[in-house]
Amino acid sequence: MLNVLLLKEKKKFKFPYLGIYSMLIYLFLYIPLIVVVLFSFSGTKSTVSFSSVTIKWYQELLKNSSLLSSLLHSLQVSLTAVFIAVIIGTSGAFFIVRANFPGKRLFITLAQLPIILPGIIIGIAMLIFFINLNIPLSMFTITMGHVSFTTPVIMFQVTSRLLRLGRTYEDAAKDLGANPIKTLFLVTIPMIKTAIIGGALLAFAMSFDEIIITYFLTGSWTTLPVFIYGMMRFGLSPQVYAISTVILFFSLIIIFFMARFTGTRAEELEVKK
Amino acid sequence: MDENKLYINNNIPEARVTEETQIKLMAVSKVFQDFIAVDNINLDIKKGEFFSLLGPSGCGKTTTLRMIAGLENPSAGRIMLGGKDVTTIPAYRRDVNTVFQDYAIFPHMHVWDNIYFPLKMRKISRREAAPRIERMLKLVNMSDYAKRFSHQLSGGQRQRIALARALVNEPEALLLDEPLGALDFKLRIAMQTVLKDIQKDLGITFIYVTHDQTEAITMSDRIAVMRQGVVDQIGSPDDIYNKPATPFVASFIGEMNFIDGTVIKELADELIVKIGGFEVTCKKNEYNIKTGDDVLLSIRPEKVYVKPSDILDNEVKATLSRIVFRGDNYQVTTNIDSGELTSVIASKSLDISLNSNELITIGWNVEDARIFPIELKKYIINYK
Amino acid sequence: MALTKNLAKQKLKEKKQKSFIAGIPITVWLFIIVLVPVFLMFVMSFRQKSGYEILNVFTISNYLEFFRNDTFWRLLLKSFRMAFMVSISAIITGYPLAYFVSRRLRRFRNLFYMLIITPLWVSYLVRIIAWRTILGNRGLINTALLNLGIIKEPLSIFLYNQASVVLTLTYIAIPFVFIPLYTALEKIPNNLIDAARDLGASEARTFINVIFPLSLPGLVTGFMLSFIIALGDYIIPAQLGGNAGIMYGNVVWAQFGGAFNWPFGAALGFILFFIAAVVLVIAQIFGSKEGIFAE
Repeated sequence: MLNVLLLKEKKKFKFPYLGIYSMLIYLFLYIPLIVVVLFSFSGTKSTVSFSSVTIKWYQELLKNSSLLSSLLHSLQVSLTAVFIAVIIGTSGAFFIVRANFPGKRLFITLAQLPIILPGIIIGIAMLIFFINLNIPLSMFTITMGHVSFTTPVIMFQVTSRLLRLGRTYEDAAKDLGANPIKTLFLVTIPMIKTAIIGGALLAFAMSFDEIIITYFLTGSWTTLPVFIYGMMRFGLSPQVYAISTVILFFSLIIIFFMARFTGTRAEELEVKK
Repeated sequence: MDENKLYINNNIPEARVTEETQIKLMAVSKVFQDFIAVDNINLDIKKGEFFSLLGPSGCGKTTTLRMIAGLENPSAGRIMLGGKDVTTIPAYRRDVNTVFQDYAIFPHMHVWDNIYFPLKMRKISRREAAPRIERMLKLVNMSDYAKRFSHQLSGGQRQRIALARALVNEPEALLLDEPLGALDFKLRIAMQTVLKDIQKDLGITFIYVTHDQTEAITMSDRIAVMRQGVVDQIGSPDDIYNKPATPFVASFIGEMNFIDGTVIKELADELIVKIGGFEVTCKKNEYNIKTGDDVLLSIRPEKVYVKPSDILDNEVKATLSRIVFRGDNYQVTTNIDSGELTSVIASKSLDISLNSNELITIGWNVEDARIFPIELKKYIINYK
Repeated sequence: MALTKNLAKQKLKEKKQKSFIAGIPITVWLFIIVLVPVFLMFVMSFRQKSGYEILNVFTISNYLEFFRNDTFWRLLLKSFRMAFMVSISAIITGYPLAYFVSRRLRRFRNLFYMLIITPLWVSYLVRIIAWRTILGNRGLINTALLNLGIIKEPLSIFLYNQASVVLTLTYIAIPFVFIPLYTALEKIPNNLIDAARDLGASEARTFINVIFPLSLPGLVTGFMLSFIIALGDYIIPAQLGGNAGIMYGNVVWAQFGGAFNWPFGAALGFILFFIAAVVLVIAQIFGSKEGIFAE
């Protein structure tokens, strides 16, 4: 009896190669980000010797007016682009879920292009488009560039929610006396609200960070990533680390809320079944 | 709360089925792209009736229900509700409510708000609605659950909330789409009683969609049996079971023996049918079957007597092939030349001695068998 | 019955009009933001640059130039090689990770999932900055080696070469490989694996015969996505590649910047578009059906 027990115990223990390997990859993923954060507090200007801790680089950020204005620009662009994308993406989600038309599969594939094509192609194509129309590079062109990839992000979030919900709830609402408008506002929208918010947050995070497309569509009016990219040409200053850390921090907050809004809440798990 | 502690009403009034027509479907059809879901059906549902639409999946029963609810527009025909033509009236202006298959309890509202929803649509204030909602919650024995959300309820509880929500407006008719389908067996049996009691109690017309023949037979006043978009038979459970109109109905409900035969002689009220080497007597029926026609003879296993002590109208010799003990009865399978015949004998009365491959007499009475034209054989459902 | 069908068609038409209103914004978006610009890029690729003018002519000289001048297609081939290496390394890192999170973890599965895909959505630029910091001449590795006394002066081998570009692109690509693999692996029902084990298959055999084949669509999608991302990037090669690590994206970009040859740039861009489209079609056929950004 004892022998059997011992055998079982032995068999159970396996060296966790996979677990250790995975943890190493997690370190690989996060150490670079941690490095950036640490360096933003480094007291010396030479990036590597870490002798004292300071927050002066953050204070300098606040004095850098061109940086602050590019931050403001970024907020303007991202908020506008996300706002437009919410309208186009949500209505588009209803369209591709509810309407049947020939070539629907192709339509969906084409609508995915801005998020699966290399950004450089969208950048070139839109640049040529605006120049053809004689539209000068400005906030408008950058915002349009951002509408290109924020729209499908929101659309596919809402699409998968709509598909998951099916039509039963709307049928139930109509059956219980709600006209189409009331059904939309009292049942459908409340039920897809979290997907819209989650999609919008994700789109915002992506937009706020975007440079590949933006770089093509930027004139003298720059966004924060383009501004930082410019700073990087003169080497990596502690200020770059400081602003990177700020971006990182806010991105994480946004992603945290996004995760809360999409998919994992109990009532939605219920809907999933 | 205990799942099995259900609504109990001690003074159930008698069913209030009237002659007044509540819902009328006239030549209603529904076509989806190239698929005919419902093909020219006529229904006449009486006020206060428990009416079931019974059929296998894909027979068009749910589509029919959805057309009555107004959730689908018929491709052709008219639908009358309480004497009014509602064919083009949208769902939200029809005075019927539905209990959906998966209940469709709004996940973003708690139970109370779910039940308030139809009242809110009628612009009834929360204060005014409160006693009515209270009453409904009591009716379905869910008073303690007003502030719960859908995901905090069990399947049976959700089902009752869906029922309360559909009934709170006192609709002219309640439509139920396989409402017990998702519940486990015991709870399903218990809920059958609950539903039936509530129906009798409120006197509301129930239209009940199910693929479960037992459910339909035990609960309904009348049943419409559907097959591939058409109604094969409308009748009382008794009619449906004992006088099935088609081989499809006969095979769909309960167990049934089918034997091929040929009519060899026509009498005044009866036909002589040759099955294998035997001649049996069958009653004439609505099918205009004549001498020389090939027929399908159907008979319920419990009407086939093994080694009968009395003299029966029809008796044949058959070889015993199998006896299966099924709890409260035995299933005895015998072979005659033209097919297999099973009979069902109550366990306690199997006192006759039987040996396999023994040649035995089996028999049945004329009124227990029905014959159909052989062309209808293809509609038999192979349930086993 | 003919009557019934006609009626049905009529009803269908009425219904269609309603849901098609919702399709207007997305259709307009698709044309203005995607189709027309890509088409104009295609048109531009047949134009001719003359000084600082773009001539309104039709010529295939830009494409001829691409094939004639071996710098460009050699660079494309090199970028192919690098993108391929990125995809392979991303799978070598991402597959075990996806397997671990989807099949070994239970309690913290969501947390560890989020930990991987969070970098996907944030701080592309920050991650470039981080790797420059680590690999640079006065970077983390060099400093560490100097302090340990292993080397006497900073080595320049870490930055400004193909390896640093492949490393950083891999770092970017891991989440893109991880998500489709995770989705594919998570969907494999446990009883299938139990059945395989029950029939006597060892863990390794179960993996080779059951799990791996079922995860193939996810693998294909992940591979293709990271390949496209690596092939089209121009910021990472510019920041970490130096002259040795330059990629196709950089010469495309250069046509719109310093070289100021838009027609040629458009042609190079369209060639990239064509390659990406082929890769995407392959991914559509052999890959998994879920998109990356579905909930």
